[in-house]
Amino acid sequence: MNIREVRKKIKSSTNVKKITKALEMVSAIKMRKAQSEAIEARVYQTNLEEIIKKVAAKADPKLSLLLQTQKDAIDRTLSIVISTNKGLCGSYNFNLYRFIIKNSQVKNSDFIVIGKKGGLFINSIGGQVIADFADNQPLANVSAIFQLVIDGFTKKKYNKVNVYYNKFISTLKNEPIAETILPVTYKQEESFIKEKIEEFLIEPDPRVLINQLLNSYVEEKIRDCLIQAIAGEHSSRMIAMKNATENANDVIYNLTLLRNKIRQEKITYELLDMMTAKESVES
Amino acid sequence: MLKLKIITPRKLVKEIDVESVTVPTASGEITILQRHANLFSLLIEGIVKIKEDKKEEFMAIGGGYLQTDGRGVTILVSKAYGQNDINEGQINKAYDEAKKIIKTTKDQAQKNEAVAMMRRAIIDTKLLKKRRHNPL
Repeated sequence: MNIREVRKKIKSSTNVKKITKALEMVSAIKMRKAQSEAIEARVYQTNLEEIIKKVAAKADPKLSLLLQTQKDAIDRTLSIVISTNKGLCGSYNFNLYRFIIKNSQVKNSDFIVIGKKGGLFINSIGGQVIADFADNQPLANVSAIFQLVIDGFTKKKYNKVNVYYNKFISTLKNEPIAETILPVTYKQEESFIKEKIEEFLIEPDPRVLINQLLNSYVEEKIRDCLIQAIAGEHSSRMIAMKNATENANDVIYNLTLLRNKIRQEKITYELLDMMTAKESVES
Repeated sequence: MLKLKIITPRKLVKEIDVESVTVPTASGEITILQRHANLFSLLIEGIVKIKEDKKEEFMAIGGGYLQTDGRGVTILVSKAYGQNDINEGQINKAYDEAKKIIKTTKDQAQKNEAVAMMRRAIIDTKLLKKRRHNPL
């Protein structure tokens, strides 16, 4: 490699570094916003869940269609896949893909995809995409997605609805998981029910109320998954960009060493030339 | 004192101790005082009146749920905002627009949306009027 090439490479690496650094900072801001949103949204979710536990614990599962799988429903799963619109977020999407291949029966599912990358992936494995919500503001689509899901389930087109997404655990970690949102299931601790359930007046009518409650529970669940996935996306992108910046630094460091070495070599050769010339003249 | 919590999917809007709270439920307006019986109810769009000591405060809410055990009241709603968060010009504009849509459109879905929009606008105007009667 000659010195000019090395200089060119250093320059381009510096540019790359600038870009990744900028992307890192942008993602860091977005991440902070998404994380605080995720935390604030959790209050609603936990409260709703608490109410459902209290009210639905005593309710008859026959009261609502959403509480159980219908016997005559077609044995088919509806899967919602939450991925990203943009790349450059490390292994975020690929982890999810691997998880989906491992855990879902592609042939026996229909897919709703959120995010461009997921749509491409599902197409490539031959999955049936029935709806594609690749929007820059995914949260605006929650109610539309919810309608689609509820319709499919109540009209007995599907007997199960899953969401596949990357759960945000910490800035450094997200984990692909599958959550079943329909039929509605919730964790129940036996002791909790016996101790804490008191008599509740339910107005106007348990049947109406439970249906409403479960509906909004499912909708909130979808929204919650989405918020978590967004927080995960930004933090994962930030980490990826941080690593890229560090790598660029390394590359620049090594190239600079190389450049200096080549320069020194050149000088030494020139000196040597002069010496030999001088010596040959003198002798 | 009652512990009141108003929560929307976006955030915890309010968490204060109050004397009483009046809410619009599916079967009529109710006021909850301390030691109210355990109640779980469906809320409809409307105005919530919050009474603290001598102060009265009004907030508009979207549909949602209410749960109380006589010591605390938890209100879970799709949205909640106070009098300072809205402005009259915008509401009137929304109202007129909704009216226009209802008159012109034949599409049922669009019509329903416009009616919902109109209802919101009416609630918002009511909320604004409250302030004039009860300056805080």
